[in-house]
Amino acid sequence: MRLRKRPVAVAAAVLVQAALLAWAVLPQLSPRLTGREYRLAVAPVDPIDPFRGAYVELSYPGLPTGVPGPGRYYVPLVRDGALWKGAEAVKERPARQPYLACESPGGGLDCGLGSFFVSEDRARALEQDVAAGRLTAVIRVDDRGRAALVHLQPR
Amino acid sequence: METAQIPPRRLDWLRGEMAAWQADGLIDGETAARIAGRYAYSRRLALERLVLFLGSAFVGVGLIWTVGANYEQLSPLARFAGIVVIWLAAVVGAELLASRVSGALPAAVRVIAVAAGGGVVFQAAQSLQVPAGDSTLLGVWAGGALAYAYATRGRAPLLVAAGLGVGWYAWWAAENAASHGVVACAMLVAAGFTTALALLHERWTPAFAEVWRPVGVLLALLGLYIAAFPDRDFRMTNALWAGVAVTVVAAAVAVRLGSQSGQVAAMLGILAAGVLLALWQPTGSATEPSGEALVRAVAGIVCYVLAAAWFAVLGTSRELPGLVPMAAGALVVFVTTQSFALFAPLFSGAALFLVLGVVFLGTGVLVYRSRRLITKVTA
Repeated sequence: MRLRKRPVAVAAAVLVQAALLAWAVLPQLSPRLTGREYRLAVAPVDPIDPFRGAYVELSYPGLPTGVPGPGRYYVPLVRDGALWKGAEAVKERPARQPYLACESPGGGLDCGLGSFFVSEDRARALEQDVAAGRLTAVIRVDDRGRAALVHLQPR
Repeated sequence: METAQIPPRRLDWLRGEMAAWQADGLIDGETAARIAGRYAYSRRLALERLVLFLGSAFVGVGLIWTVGANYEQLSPLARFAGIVVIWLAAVVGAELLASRVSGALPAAVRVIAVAAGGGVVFQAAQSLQVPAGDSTLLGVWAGGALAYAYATRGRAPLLVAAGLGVGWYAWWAAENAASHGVVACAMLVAAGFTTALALLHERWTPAFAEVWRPVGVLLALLGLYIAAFPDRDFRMTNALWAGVAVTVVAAAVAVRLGSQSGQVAAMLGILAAGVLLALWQPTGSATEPSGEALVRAVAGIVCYVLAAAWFAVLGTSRELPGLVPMAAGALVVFVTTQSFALFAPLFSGAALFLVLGVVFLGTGVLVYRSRRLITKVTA
């Protein structure tokens, strides 16, 4: 009886792990699968994650940086030539798309676009290109404002 | 008749028990000799376990490292598929092994399965550019590992899962707490909860209690360590009150179903002491401490020493593995940091080293003598 139960329990545990994983990456998976593409200006910083390796930390000169208090904010995206930039952050979900759904712990604004994972060598090269303003960020945004950074490409 | 190879400590225990059974008239000398003949010493088992543990730990770290190396020659999808195959192969392989043999070998493969599960999480997050600096991914890994440990009823995967869970909880608390006093109380709340969990496991899964109890001790010592430092910004948050309520309910259930109410009472006492220390905000500044600040510092030290001593007594009297070294190590670390904080402003250079050296030697002698005394008293 115990031998029969064990594989079912292990299979259930595997499914639980898969479900947890799907839940954790949903905010990035959804815009990749269903979102539309936009290009934003970026600037770099350069750290390492112990579990996922090197990444380029990015800031977005075209997006608002300061908000009055903690909580959820929405940043409407407006076209600025070949790129897009953010208008002032608002607390109400905008009626028109595109917009970014962002969180603020108080002060700064996190729209889930702050890091780009690449190999260590490429991170250094990318950092120089981003610092020189030669790259733009290609993002995808779904209809809930969830955004995923897809890649960096020349201006 | 086949002779089973078992570790020396287990054989010593068995021989002690058989002597007691003989003395009580439960078995005669011949039966005792026949039972003893079925078992033999084997140090090889301990060595095997060590090598298998090291092997699985190295493979596990290597898998996570491989994900972190971000090999861009392979597409993200190929890398994700590769780590999923390794994960599922380890899960299935461990179960096949467990159905044929018991012991350290399936446990080692299960540890690899836990690590590979983490590899799957981090590979997916890396490929989808999930933002860095968020505790969620570690929490997802810990949650999955816990589900796997309970499904397999494996102590080794639970040990890894509990470690991941503590790491995630500490990170999550630090991320969301407004001040270090809140982090300290969050650790103490979790300590009370895991102790209640350990007592509940003793009824149904004793092997899991051996994992949860040291986790509770570790969290309690960590929480009291942080609570010893005054926090002027501390406020009891709603989340902390909710945590205290859940812990009290879990403790009540553990006391109702179990028999070791003393352990629960001690852990709730430690939680109360930590909260009171966090709420105690003395007058004066860090550079010019008041008399009240010194009294608070002494109270913090007394609480820590009493808690560490209680854990050492518990570990010795009930022969609980790991508790005594943990309590002794925590005491040494606590005295070290407190000494630096107390003596650094008063002495400099060589004098500081001489004073701290004397304090450490005194602590070492104290810990050594206390251990001997506790062993003697409880024997």
